[in-house]
Amino acid sequence: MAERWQRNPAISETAVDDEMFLVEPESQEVFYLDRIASGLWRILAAPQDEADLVALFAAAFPDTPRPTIARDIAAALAELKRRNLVVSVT
Amino acid sequence: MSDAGPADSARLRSGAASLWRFGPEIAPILVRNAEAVLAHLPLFLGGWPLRWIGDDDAPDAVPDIEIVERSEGAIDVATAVHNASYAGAMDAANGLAGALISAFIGRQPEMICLHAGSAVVGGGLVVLIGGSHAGKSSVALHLAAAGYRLFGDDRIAIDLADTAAPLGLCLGLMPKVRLPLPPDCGARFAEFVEGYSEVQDDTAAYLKPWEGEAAIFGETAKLRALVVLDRIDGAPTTVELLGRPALLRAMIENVTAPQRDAGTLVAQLDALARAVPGYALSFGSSREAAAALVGSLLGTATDG
Repeated sequence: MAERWQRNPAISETAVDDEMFLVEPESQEVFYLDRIASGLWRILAAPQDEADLVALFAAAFPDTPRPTIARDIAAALAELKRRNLVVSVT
Repeated sequence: MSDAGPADSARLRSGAASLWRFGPEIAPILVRNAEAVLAHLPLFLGGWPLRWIGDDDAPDAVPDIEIVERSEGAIDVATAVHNASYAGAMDAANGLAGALISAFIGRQPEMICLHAGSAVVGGGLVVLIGGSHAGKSSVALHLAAAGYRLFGDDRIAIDLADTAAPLGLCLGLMPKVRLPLPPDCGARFAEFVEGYSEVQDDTAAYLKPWEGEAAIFGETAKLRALVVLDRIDGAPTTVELLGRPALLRAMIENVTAPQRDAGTLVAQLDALARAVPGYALSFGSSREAAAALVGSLLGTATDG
């Protein structure tokens, strides 16, 4: 079964228009998410694997080639993981 | 300046130099051996209440800041968390000014500090936000040269006790401008700088405006506009309304608020961005930038 990801529940968030500012409590770092990353963050309120995310975004952006979406989602998810903003859900 | 690492509390307790009390009586900042740099301090900081406590009145007092003179002429400005070393008294006085402001802000639970110049335009405070070399001082001084009351150079405190009506508070940092002045600065600006220069060296002019022309430490004013500066050599001057996310990003990049957690700070800055309109000011010429900003805010133009 593919690894699934969900928001780190320790993260606090402030939504500003369509964009999001997150605070990682241990480091006290503030992270800014652009519109696409903010959309990803919102979807990750519930556990998702990478294929789920690509399917969701492909449906939302039918004019964008699926390989492009897959690449962008992989990069955005990797960034969220690297910053400890999402956690693996078993 | 070089970073000498955090000072230990044992060293902060040592020494027998004079103790000085800076700032408001309700939250004074104790400085030991301020006399080592005091002659230069007015170049950087003005209007702060200052009182000599004495050599022996408070022998056990732990100063918030200690000035340490090294045998080779270097001077350290030490706090409990940071120790910076300077080559001489003038640079150390500048360092003391920064340390005093950090200590002052750290004691004000409702205040944040933004890296920003500021001036009063049309009865409200215009806050010019930007990092190093963004043109904060330059645009603020062009506004001052055009007759608008200078409110602050480089940093401003914002009182968020009432987030619906935030107030700017002047920190008393004295204005300075890099030399040589750009060729397009205009005669009025050049005269302003020359007329108010307290000291000039090869790289900067340190100005001392009259009290009627510039705010003093502790003075407050209601905020009218938060302006994010974007200086690009040769760029045309534009003033545009700025979306709240971009304004919030700029404030996060330029804020100091040591006394609160980041989540609270983001929420408070968001409230500030809701309460005060944001603008993006792109420019290549500070003179044109100041004129365009006044024109946008007041619907008039200055002749720079």
